[in-house]
Amino acid sequence: MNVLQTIDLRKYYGSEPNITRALDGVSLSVEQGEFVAVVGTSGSGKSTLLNMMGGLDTPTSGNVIVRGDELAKKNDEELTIFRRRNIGFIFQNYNLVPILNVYENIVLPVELDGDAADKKFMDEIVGMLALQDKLQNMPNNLSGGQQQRVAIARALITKPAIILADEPTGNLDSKTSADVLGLLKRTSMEFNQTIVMITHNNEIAQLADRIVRIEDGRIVEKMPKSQLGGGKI
Amino acid sequence: MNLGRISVKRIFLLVSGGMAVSMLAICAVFFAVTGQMWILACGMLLMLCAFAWMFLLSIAFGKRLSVFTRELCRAMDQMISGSGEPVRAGDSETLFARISHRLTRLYGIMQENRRKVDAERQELQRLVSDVSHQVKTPVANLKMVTDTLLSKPVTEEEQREFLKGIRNQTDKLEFLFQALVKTSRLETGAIRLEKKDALLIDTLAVALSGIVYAAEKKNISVTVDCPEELRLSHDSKWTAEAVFNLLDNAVKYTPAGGTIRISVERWEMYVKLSVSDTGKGIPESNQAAIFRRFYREEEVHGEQGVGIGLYLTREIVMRQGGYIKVVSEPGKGSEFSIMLPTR
Amino acid sequence: MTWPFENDTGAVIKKLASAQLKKERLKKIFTVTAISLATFLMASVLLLVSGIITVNQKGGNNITGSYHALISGIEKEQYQKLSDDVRVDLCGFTASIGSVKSGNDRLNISYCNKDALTLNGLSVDQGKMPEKANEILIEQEYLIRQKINAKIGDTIRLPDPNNGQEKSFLITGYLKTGAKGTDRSLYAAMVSEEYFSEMDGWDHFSPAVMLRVNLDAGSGDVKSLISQIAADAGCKTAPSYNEAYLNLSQPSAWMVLAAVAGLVVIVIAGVLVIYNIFYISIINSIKQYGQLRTIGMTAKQIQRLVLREGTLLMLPAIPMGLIAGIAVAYLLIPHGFGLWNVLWICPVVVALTYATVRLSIKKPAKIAAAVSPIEASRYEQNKGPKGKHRQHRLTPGSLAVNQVLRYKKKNILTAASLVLTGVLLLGLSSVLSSINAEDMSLSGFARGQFVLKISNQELMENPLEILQGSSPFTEEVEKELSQLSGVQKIIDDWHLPVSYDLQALESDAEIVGFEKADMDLLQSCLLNGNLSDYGQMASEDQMVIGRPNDFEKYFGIYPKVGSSVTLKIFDGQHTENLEFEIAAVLDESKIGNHGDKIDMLLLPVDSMQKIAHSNLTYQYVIRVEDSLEQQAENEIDQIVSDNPRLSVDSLSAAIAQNENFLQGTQLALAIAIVLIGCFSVMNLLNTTLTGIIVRRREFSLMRSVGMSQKQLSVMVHKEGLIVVGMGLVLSVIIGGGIGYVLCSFLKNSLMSYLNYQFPVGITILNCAVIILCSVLITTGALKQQSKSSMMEALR
Repeated sequence: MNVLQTIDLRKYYGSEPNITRALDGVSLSVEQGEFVAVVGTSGSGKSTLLNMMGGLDTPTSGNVIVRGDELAKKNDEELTIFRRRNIGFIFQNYNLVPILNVYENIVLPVELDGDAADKKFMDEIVGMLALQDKLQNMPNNLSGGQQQRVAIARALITKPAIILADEPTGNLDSKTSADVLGLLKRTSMEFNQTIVMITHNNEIAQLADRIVRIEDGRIVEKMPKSQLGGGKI
Repeated sequence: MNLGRISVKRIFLLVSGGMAVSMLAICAVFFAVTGQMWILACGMLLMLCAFAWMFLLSIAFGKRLSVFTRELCRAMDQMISGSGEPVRAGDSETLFARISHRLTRLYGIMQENRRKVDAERQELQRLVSDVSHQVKTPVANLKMVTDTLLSKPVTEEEQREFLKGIRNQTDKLEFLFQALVKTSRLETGAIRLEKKDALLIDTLAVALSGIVYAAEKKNISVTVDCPEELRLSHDSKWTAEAVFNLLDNAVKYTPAGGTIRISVERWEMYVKLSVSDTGKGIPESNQAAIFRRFYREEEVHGEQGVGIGLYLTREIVMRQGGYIKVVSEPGKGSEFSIMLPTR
Repeated sequence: MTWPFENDTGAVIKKLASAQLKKERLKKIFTVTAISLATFLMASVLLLVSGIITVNQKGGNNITGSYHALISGIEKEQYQKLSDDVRVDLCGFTASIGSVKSGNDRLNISYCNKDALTLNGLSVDQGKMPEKANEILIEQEYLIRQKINAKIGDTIRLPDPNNGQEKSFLITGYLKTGAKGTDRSLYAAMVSEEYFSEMDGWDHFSPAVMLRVNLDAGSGDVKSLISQIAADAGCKTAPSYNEAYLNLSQPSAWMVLAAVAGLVVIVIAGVLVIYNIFYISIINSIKQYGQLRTIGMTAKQIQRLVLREGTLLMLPAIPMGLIAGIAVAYLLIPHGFGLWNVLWICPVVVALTYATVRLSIKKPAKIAAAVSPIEASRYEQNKGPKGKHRQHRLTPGSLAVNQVLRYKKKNILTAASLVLTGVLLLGLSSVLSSINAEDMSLSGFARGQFVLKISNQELMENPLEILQGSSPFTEEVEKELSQLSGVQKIIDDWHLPVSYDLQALESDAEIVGFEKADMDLLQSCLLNGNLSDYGQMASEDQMVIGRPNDFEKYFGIYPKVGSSVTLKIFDGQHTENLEFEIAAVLDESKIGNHGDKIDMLLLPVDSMQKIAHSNLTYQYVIRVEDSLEQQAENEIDQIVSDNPRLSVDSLSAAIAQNENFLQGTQLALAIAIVLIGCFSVMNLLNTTLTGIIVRRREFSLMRSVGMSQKQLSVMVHKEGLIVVGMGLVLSVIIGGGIGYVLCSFLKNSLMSYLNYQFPVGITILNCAVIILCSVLITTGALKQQSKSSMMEALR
């Protein structure tokens, strides 16, 4: 089942002859539970792609469909609410709201919808990410890796259709990176969560189920969807 | 007074009552102060007016609520009978949207469950077909040899050869059978992985003991770099099996005189256990496929093996909440890394 | 509010708002202070103004009395009708029985009913009102003065004012009037209604009625209401209105206008500060708002967030401001403090403050809500000017200019605050510095430094003709005056008491006499008619109308040259009806400083001499040599103490009084402006502080590439000074301009003694204070920042 689908996505800046083609016709689909890595050098358009997928930016042409909903048809408020309920974000920097503590940061998307977080699920996530003793801390008291773990928790709490991660380990040392990635992969497996991660690091991309390479705004190589035998249960 | 428990009817009655009382009071006060009759009449009229509109409001509100409930029930009925996806209410800051979003998700989960069930069934089918495929050859061989033995007279030498061949094939069948049992047990959950806090080095020792002899025979040096006191919550028996499979492959695919190195690092969330060899390496195009069941590299069909070692390893690791990754270049050797979670 | 079926996300917004405020202490302090200040000022202004109005209305004013009109020549039925009239609030009955002279002192005896006591500002100090014919209510001071050893319950013997026979009176209580002490010579006593009836009061004394009407019972002009009431009761004499009280009891339009203007200024000042504070805070948190938007916070929710912050800040601030305002108003005008006033003013102030804050936050909230998630992640504060620009030499100064241009909006707002304060300050102090107590007072003493006249007490108690019958201006007095040190000129003003109503028993107007020497003055103001020859006018008793508008009010018709007017003249005890021809009419607007010389009715002095035989001297205007003024004053004071029926107005006293008044006004204005100035100082402080705190990293970066702390300090100081400088220069120009315009306007209309002078001292003080503030806060903040290490800041 297709969770996410982009159809001939294009993003152009400026006009001829100085036109910049950030995205030049990207079509991609992601299935439920997949962990996809989008790999490319800086300037290749991967960040732009992520922004399109998350509804943070509008394409010049083309469409993004998440769980059957076309993002292009939504106005600003609808997009925002859609993001709130259906998409989780993990960024390289500035993930957490500095004025709230860890617990409040995690439940923020849920509370924005007027709901309370499901306690059992919360405990599960917090346990898996080893954040139990840090719940009252403020973000600026945490290390980079810990902050990213909080970001992962926050991305998970609404059980979104898709989690978009933009260079989540960009600012971290290799050990912490491995930790964080491991957690991402594990959540993807345990909760059957769809994750799209962009990175410029090939080694990190290895962890994904599928690697998509992007260059100059176009997809250059698609790893065949690996037939992983029995698949995941 | 719990707001969730009060019936709507009571709320409306209370509000109307309050309204009536306060309006009457104001009316009375004004009347008392000015002594004008028309104020009383005016007040009464206003009150009647207010009541009328209140009445209208409660009716309209009630109808609206009924419509809302009806739509909700209909959507849920559809989901129950499986006739289709509930209509999306759109992304707005309303109660409908919030509920509808959850309904949609619920529907998605139900679909997903159905799909899983189907997938499992398919999986089983595939397993059966795989097994029958693998079994076919040895059985055919066996049949051929026994037929030959039964039909033709053979020399003692030839008999010996043929019987060796039979033993070979039965060994292979036994091997296959055991591997299959292991896999199926693992997959059906008959075997539970029990995580216990134990020294990792002991687990490694068990794994190593399996290949020490084979490695010596090929003159491959094996080094182990693991902190002695490192404890980890893991299933020692199965993890040892997983590591053994890696080591087994490493020995198989590393030429004589090569090295195998086991190193263990402890990180904040994971423990990394790497098995690296100086073997022939795996090209990138195959790196995802090697974890498939019954996959075997072309060149080593001669060697013993069924092709499910890596598959098993990966399953064991994943079920403990870890993952496995491989870094390899043809001609330069491979490094398999198992990540096991520290909690 | 959340409508039914709408998603209620209020909880998370409240949480975010509280968390935000907890973190930004600086913003909290400044905003709460600003809101409190605004509330305090608004409450004070409204309470003070309403307090003044209340005091006036309560009419605790003993001088004017609190009655609206006086109707004399009342008969019994008329009195009955008047007192029964629903529209009348208080109906005071008063009749003068007579006066008793004892040595230099005079005791005026009259009968007043209870209402009249109230309306006249009199009261019973101890004891009670007299009821029997032989009972009396008397001023205790009189007894002390006359050394009569009597208390309440004792009897005293007083000569009956009418027949001279001694009569015993039982003292029932002490009368309290507006006058105090025993230094005066006039005292009052009150008899009972019985006495009045026994003496056939209705026929012998001319009773009058003082009316105070119900202001709410009938709307419209009080005067027309009173004439209606009088007509309904059948009064024959026209009511004479107590102008002084009427003016007091109706809130002056000017005061209301002043209050409204004050409120507007406060609101503007408050908006400038609060808007800037929120604007800066939001600009500094754009990234955070972008984050929130990315996670799924809608524009509406962000707006509600900012608004909620404002509301949370108002909660502690408004009560503080209200309480302070109420306290100050109570301290300053305790009598004007009324619960009713507080009750209606508090909600109004709360509403106004709420509106002010909402207005200030609206735009910043919109800015926050309009943040798009993508732009926020790339946001850098105010990227510099787009396009190319030439290379400038980089000095701390040029960097400072760059920085100022980067943050245009907040610097403009800060400068605007400064301009507002500066304009107010300069405008008002221009007026004050152009007024000189001396010049102000001189206008009333154009002809001489002293004016010796009949005491006010005397004039109040008796009609002018009675006084002139036994004029206090004795020959003795005249002689002493001529012997004053340095005396240069003594001008004798003659007033002849008259009345339009030929049946009146007392005069209610005066004809002012003019001499030959005054002809030029009259000629200069001529409107209609002919001022040919003094002698001719004198011989024909021709009259000049100095104030035609007053004439029209009094007589009911506009004066026409050539027509005649008949007046009843009062010459001591003697009266006569005379006809006067109007020879000329003057233009009122040209009178200027000569108001006491030119009045409604003017007659040649020689004519007056012919007509009346009493001493018509109303006042002496005395001019002495300036060097001997002090000496002369002492001598005149001696004359006055010897002649208690006279009093003197001196230039020096007027100067002292005006000096006092000016100083008082200056003080009040200074306080008001300082308070308004607090707004702009707060704005400056907040802008400077946040500007420095937010650019911590940037400054460290500059330091790390080689800028010394001193250079950095110079740059930041220059930034502050540029903004402050702009604000001050603008305020001086605009404020000075407004001050000049204001002064010219006032000079032309009211205060001709105004001499425009630019308030240099105040301007310098203002500039110095503001610059000092800027420098101090910059130094302090930079010092604080330099304490933490460079690397720490860069991280």
